[in-house]
Amino acid sequence: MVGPMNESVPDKTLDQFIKLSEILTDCELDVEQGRAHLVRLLSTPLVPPIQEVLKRFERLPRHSLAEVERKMVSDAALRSTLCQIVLLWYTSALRDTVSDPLVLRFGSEQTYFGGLVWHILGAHPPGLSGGYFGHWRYRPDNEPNGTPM
Amino acid sequence: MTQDFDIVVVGSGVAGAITAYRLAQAGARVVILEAGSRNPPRAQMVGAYATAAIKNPHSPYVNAEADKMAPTSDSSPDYYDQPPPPHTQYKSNYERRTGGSTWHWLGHTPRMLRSDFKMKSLYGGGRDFPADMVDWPIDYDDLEPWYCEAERELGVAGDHAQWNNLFNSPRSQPFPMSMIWPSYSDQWIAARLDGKKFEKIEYRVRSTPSARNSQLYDGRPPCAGNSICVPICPIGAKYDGSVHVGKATAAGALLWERCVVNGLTAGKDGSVHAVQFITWGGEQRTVTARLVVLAAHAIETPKLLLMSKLANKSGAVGRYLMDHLSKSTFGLAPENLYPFRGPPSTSGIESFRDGDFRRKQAGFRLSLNNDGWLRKNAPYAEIIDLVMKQKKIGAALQAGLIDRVPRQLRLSCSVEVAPDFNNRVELSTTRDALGIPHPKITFTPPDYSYRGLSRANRVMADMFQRIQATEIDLGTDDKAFDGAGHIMGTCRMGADPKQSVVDEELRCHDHKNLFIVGSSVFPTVGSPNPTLTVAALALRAAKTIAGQLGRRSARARS
Amino acid sequence: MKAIRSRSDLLKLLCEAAELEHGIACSYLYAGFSLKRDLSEGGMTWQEQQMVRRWAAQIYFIASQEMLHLALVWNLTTAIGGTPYYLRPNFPQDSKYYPLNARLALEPFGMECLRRFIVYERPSALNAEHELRMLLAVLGEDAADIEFGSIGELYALIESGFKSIPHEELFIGSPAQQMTRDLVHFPDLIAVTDRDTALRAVHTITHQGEGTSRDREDSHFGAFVSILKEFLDSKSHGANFAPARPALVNPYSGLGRGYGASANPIEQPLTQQAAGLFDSAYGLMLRMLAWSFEVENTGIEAIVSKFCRVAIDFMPRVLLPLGEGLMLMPAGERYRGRTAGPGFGLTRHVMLPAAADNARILCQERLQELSQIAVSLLKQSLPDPAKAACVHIQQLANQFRAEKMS
Repeated sequence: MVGPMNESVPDKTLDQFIKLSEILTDCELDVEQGRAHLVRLLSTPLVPPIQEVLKRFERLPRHSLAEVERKMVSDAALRSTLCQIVLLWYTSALRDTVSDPLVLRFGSEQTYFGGLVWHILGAHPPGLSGGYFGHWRYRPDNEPNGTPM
Repeated sequence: MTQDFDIVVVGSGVAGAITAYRLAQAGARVVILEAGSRNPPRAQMVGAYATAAIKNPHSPYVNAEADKMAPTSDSSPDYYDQPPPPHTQYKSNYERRTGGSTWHWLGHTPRMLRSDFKMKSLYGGGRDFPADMVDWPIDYDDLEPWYCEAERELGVAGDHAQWNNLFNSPRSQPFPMSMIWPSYSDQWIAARLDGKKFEKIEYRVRSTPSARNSQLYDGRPPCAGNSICVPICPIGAKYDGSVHVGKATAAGALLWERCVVNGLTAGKDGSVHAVQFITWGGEQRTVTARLVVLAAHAIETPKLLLMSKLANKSGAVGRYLMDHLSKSTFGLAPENLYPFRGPPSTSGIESFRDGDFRRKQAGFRLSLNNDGWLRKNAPYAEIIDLVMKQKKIGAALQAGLIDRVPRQLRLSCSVEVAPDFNNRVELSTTRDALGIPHPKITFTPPDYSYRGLSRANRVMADMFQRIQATEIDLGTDDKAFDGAGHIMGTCRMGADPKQSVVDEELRCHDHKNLFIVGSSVFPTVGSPNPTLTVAALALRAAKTIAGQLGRRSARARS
Repeated sequence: MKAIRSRSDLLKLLCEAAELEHGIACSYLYAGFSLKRDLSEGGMTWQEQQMVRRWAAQIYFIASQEMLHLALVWNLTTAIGGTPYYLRPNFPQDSKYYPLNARLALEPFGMECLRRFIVYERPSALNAEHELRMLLAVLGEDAADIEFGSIGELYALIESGFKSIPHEELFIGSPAQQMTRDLVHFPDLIAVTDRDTALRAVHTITHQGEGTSRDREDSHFGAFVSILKEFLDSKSHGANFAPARPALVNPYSGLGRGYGASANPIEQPLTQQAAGLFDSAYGLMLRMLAWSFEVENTGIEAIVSKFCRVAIDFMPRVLLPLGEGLMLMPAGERYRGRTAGPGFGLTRHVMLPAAADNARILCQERLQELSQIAVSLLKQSLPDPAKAACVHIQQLANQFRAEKMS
């Protein structure tokens, strides 16, 4: 777990972060999880720093998927931090960009069990019950969207 | 002379705890000496797992003091003193905590097959058959009733019809619980594999018997698919040694934790009555007992005997170190299999465990796994790839993940390692914080086992092809393997005191009141996970020990 | 105890048992649906979420065993010449209806709910009467109000019937009717063909429910007591702990007739439609299962297998997600913030006909109808589980139509 948990972040910054994150993740996001993620990002040395990414987002003419794709994701200099944002929401992990093989650092238990990727995949965060005994014999009831029969 | 206790049990893992429980129930005064400490509450350990950077088997159990005072290769990468790569590495680990290594086992409980007990008689004699492969001094029928009892004690779920008489190994009792349901993935694979053949051997997917509740059992809930059996079951549906530690203490056994046994002393008549231990605080103490049971797993047990210079007239202590060679292979199925649900493995293929081929090469189990490409860092690696390389975000990112990750499949094998005199545990010159030697390990799998591994690789390749998988990853080295976590051998059972450490009742040949339980007594290992056999042998030994204790009591009174 | 000596009396008791197991299963499922899943729903720390998901898994498991009990009762019924009884009165059910002296109700997880569950499963020979009263008295109820009757007494009567009615007269059902574990996913299902198997079936039910004095902790009773203890303990530690969704008590979709007066009609239109779809899917599933249990399998194994597979798939893929989804949907303005829930409403309908071809036609048509409703619902804004259920209804309808019947 990195960074102080109860550090306050300006509401405007949090708001921008949530808006950008919603576009990146295509998920409905919980503000309190967002606060925890942002606190962590602010205290992690990222290249580029999260503040710069949020400034770039703020300057976009429109806060839309197309704009973010065109003006931010396409920029190799920004992509690494955008990837970190996605990783955080999806898995609560930040990756150590310097090391190979992959090194991950996870956040709090609360953010780990709030990780979004597992639901996207029709599963559950490893460590949390996936449901009743035997549910794994059936296809998931939260089946990944658009899956053909 | 009055001893402090009737029995000292060294080690509180599944073997020691079951033995202590049965003896305490029989009225013996028992003390269990455990080198490690008690684990914190389960929920706390789940939290430790959730926040761990590397979610390896030790991740819930990390504790600086315990890792220092009762180290293992789980907690300390340099604990094993072994020659560095390119020499083959012994990779299997264990836990020194109250309850032992079953805290992080997968929970699979297949039995050994009839042939596994008589390898030399059945398959020996040829040029390619390992010279050190021997028969057990007992056979499947001797152990069968104890297997049934072990299944009841641990709480095993399985399908009787699928397993009765597998390779001529009958079951006299049904499983205590009906099987853990096979996963959707297992069923999908079975529909495409069952009945097909590889080199005339027929594939058949079977639900793997497991010490994992499929119903309320023994005060523990049924499995709810938390999916992290390795390294810990959050709800206690998977059996772990703490179950019998609890039962042993409830039956009156004492449990002394943070007490690292560092010596045994034998009297002139060869009896071992004194057990020396050092506490974490550095206090050296001795406790005496009428009988001593070593249950410290297959690295620490021989280590202790070597330190004490006991039980080794045969020269076999520490020798014949074994494992199973584990290998994971990966492929992308043409349809969704929905990994990351249910226990990490629910079914397997037993077809290659036995047959005439064992004259020349090792048999093996195959597992169908439900954890996708977790070992290749899924889904993290996929997220990073999609954003960084493919520049996808939002719905396109989700679509990219959904397209691949639910189709990812891992197959794995577990290959029999034949005994080899030269594979051994000795004492290192390096010492731990309490002054106790690290284990020095020498281990090279015999060619017999490498041949089995090679064949297992070809079988897995065939399986992937039959299910029309793509992106098949078999690794680059046919001889590469992981540890299965099955540390076996090192104090083997045998009828001949010149060739073995314990007799068929697990009594040391050299010391009639010293017993060894656990997987160190296995003379050969077959291909099943060892824990059920460990439990069966422990239950059987407990009966012997109780009888021996009883006879001595009767004599003392007369 | 009155001795049961006639087939007719025994069949009537089996119908009562069927109604009871069925009603109790629905009550358990409702409680299971109400337990929150995600941290984003609020009211849970991650540790509490672990506990809540464990409770949900336990409750669903117990519900699945009630369904096994229903299946066993159906096998017992057909073995002696009866037909599987799948009707039950709608919720809530008056406390004097059964020997239980406890209401059968649909309510979200909570202390009142757990109290009822413990009373349902209470063993007939419970020594720790005082301890149980003390536990339940913590809930603030006057413990003297609780008159204990037990399902065990009902099964004791059923057992006496199987013991006293002569074997040769009694077991007139065809063994080919018996449902086996291959067709439905109950490994503990017993095919009932004689007195021995009948008694085994009855013992399985009572043993799982109330246990014996030696292994009470593994019974449903023991499990609920243990959940209640944990719940009381957690309440004393976490003041903000709110494990259940704010679902209605005894909702009904309002699309049928014949409901109890104290049921709560869902008023939000979309939610009402979704609740109606639940009831329809549930009713069809029951009829398909009952038909499968009743027909003689000989010569039509493939058809029976098909009916069973689709009917059983309804449970995890339609009813479970739709039930959970309804608890995320608003019940209506007058309920001030409460969400809805499935009413498990049964309405008047025929049993499926004996002739397999006609049964297939009726099911296929009905599945298509449900599929159309699902399609129209999907055009509106639904919570994820409800969406998934609608997609799965279409898939199951297509699957049923596509697979060959011979």
